[in-house]
Amino acid sequence: MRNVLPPLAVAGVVVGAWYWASYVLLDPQRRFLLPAPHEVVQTGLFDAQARSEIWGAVVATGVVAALGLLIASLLGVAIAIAMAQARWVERSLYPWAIVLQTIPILAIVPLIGFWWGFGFSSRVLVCVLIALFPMITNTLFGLRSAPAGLHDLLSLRNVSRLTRLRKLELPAAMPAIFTGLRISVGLSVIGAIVGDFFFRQGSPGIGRLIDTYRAKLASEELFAAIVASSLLGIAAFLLVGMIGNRVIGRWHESGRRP
Amino acid sequence: MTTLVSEIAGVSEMEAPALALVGVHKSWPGSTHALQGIDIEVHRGELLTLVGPSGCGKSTVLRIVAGLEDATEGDVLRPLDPPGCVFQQASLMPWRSVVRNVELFLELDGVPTRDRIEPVDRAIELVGLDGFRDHLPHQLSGGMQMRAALARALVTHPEVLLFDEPFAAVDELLRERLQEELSRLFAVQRFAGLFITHSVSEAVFLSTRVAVMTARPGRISTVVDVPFSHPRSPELRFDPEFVALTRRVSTALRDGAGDLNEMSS
Repeated sequence: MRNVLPPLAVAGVVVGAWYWASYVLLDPQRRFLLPAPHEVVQTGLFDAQARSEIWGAVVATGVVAALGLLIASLLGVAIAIAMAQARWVERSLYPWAIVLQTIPILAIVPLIGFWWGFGFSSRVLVCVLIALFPMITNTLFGLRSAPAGLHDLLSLRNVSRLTRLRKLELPAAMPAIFTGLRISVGLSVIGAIVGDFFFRQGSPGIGRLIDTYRAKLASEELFAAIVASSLLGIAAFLLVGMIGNRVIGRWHESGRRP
Repeated sequence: MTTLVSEIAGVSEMEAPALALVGVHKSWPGSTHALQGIDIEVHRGELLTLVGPSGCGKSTVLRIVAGLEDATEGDVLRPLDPPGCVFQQASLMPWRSVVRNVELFLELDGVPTRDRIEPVDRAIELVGLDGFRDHLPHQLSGGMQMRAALARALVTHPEVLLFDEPFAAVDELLRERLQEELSRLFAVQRFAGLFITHSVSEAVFLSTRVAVMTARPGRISTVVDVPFSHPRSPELRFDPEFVALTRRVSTALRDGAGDLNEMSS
């Protein structure tokens, strides 16, 4: 009971504040700006057309985000492994990783559209670009975090680079890799939604649907779609967290309860 | 220039030492000699301890023997098989259980899984960690982690064992018990041991010979023989001859240490 009460209480406060904003803060003509929670739920779950549109779009966007994250994590780990081999590799590649981080993705989305069209693969590319940097930096940090004592023990036996990587550096890097994944999963979902929003053409996702509802001033559908995309983000984040706990929770401090 | 020699000239023993340093100098780039004229040899069944103030280069000597550092000058005889090492941090892999940690070197040597079971079990029994085979390091106390590290070092039956202040982070009572355990293991396995410590009583209790080092540059000032047989009992610490030896070592240490302001942290 004690576990459930605080979250329920906070949720209650949020919903209460929402109702207050809808009915007290807004007069009836302006109520469309923030429909009440029960109206949003009704549209999102019980209106057949809106429901299939919204949840279909969420799934489409979710698939894009998932694939983008998968590619970004594999690529990020591979690049970090390469960078961990020698400082000169790190120094050569790092600036480009930073470029990746600082380029406003939205500015290059039109370019991606021109070069690769507006279909599924372009959307995945946007996600990969946006989610790659945290995977690289966190993995590199993790690879370097193996204690010197353990490195010495391996040096004593002249182990190959590959063995050192497999037996020491990669396992030691797992907590950092999952930290990177937790950051990248959110970015990937955002990338999928926003990329979809700006592409406007090609296979539709929740981003475009939100824009369509906005244009039609269909505020209940709009808010239902917004809530649905938040749920997508939350579900993705929780999923990564759960996987992380299974993989490293046994031995890492982060898995221990206070 | 260093060369690996297979025999040390002038050794009067029947068999060659398991490890030796002859006339070894070590200096780091841009600084004065860290080590000067180090002569050490250890045979099987001998345990040599290096005692000295912080910064005198004891760990450097150990690392040169292990092959983690090179000597700037002099000859180094290293053991053919990789030595077992126990450092101040137990350095167990936190993601592996005790069993998986202890079997690490057998695994790296390519020993198949079923052939690892027996030696690993024996090593774990030897250090008294029987009921904790599947525990993770974070579930073990500091002393137990150190014993696991000891088991890991022993499992390949190395000719040479190197210790770098392994018991420094452990409380006194546990420390004494770990010393007694090591003495027992030494009596059975008869490895050639090189042990680094700050503690004079630990040095005298554990070794067959104690070498006292001075700092800046690192040199061996005195060598004291400790004739008691292994395994050694806790009562030995109060034996008059033991106490006299402790005094000798302690005096040699103080003489070489210089005044308070010269001593490093």
